[in-house]
Amino acid sequence: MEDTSGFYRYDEEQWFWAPNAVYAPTYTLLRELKDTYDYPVDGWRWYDEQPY
Amino acid sequence: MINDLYIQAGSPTEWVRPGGWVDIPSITSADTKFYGVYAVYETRKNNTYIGFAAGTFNCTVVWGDGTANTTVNTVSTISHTFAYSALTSPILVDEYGENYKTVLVTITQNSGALTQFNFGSTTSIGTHNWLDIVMSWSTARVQFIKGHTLLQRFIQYTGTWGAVSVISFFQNLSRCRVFQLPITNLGAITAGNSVFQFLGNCEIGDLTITGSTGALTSLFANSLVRKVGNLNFSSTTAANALFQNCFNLIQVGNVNVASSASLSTMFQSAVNLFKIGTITSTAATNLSSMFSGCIALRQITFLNVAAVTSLSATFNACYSLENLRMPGVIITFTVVDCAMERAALVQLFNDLGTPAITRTITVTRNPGSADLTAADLLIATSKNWIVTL
Repeated sequence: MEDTSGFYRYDEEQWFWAPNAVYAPTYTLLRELKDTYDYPVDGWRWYDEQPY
Repeated sequence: MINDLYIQAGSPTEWVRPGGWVDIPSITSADTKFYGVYAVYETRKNNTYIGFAAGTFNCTVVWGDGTANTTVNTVSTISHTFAYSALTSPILVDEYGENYKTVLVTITQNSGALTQFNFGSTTSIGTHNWLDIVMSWSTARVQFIKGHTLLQRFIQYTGTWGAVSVISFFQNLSRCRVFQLPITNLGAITAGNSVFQFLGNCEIGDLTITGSTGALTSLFANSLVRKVGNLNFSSTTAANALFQNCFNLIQVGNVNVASSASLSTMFQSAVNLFKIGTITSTAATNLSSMFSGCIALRQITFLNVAAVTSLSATFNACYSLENLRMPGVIITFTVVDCAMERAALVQLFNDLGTPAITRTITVTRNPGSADLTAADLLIATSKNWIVTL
């Protein structure tokens, strides 16, 4: 079973998936700190499985 | 023989004309003449049609089988049935084990100007067993529609047809191994869609079609072409699907499609494409699926993609892509599952333009993704990009 966990965001009419990290101009999301964030972060949420 | 060749597809040694085929006399570019070697099968009907499709002319067709000549002086499609038993040429066996003989058909223009031949047009139902065609006919263009029914052939062609459409000109010559064209012929294409679609297993040198301001959509799509030299299609307005489904294609030179707005699916599913030169695509806006399925391609270099507005699935399944140059890009795209090491990813970040709103670049599952440093990532994020790993 493929691991589809990660940060997901729906934007620009498509899903984005970052299994390990998101680096943005004003924030960073790291997989190992996924439980520490106050979601959504700029539209990003953590999912244990692909949400779509 | 013809000297002013522009394209010679296939090397002289990769295909040898079968010795049993009837000979074709010498021809020069000053002639107005068609020679065609036709395969007459022992167990087939062997009826063929030739369309004299346009112009005011008087032509004579010599069928080469001892039957009466045919004079054609009106726009019409003529037919002829060859009799296998009547031919004295050697019995040959094709690759499927079927016996055939060959006959030389000659068409001469006595007066006027025929401006179009059709071989196997949609209205001409018959066999199209042309094997080897040599012609010099400065006023005429030729269409080989339904050429997929043809057998192995060697085609040489000369003549000019000026600034007219050559849609489907060589389309469906799926077993064509060698063809030759003079430089003036392709230079003035105005609507060259699908000209070489389904072309056979051959190589093509440098190709310049700068007189065209129309589309060259699907020019080589679904062909078995192996290698292509430098392409200068700088005036054409659309080059999408140019090499789509060219499964044999392994190498392409520099590509200049500077005026094309759409390069969508240009190399889609060219699964053996290994190398391509620099791509000049200044006016391109749509690169969607341009390299989708190019699983063997290692490097892609665009000179400038600042005008691009769609990069949907452009690099989908480019599993071997080690190096990608996208100077000025300002829209979201992904290189997930490519083969870029850290240095290549940093180079990609350095090439990024600065979009007005935040855009996303996905570099997930590249060999160098995990090696990117904070400083590397800052190159992209400082230019208003989100990087996803």
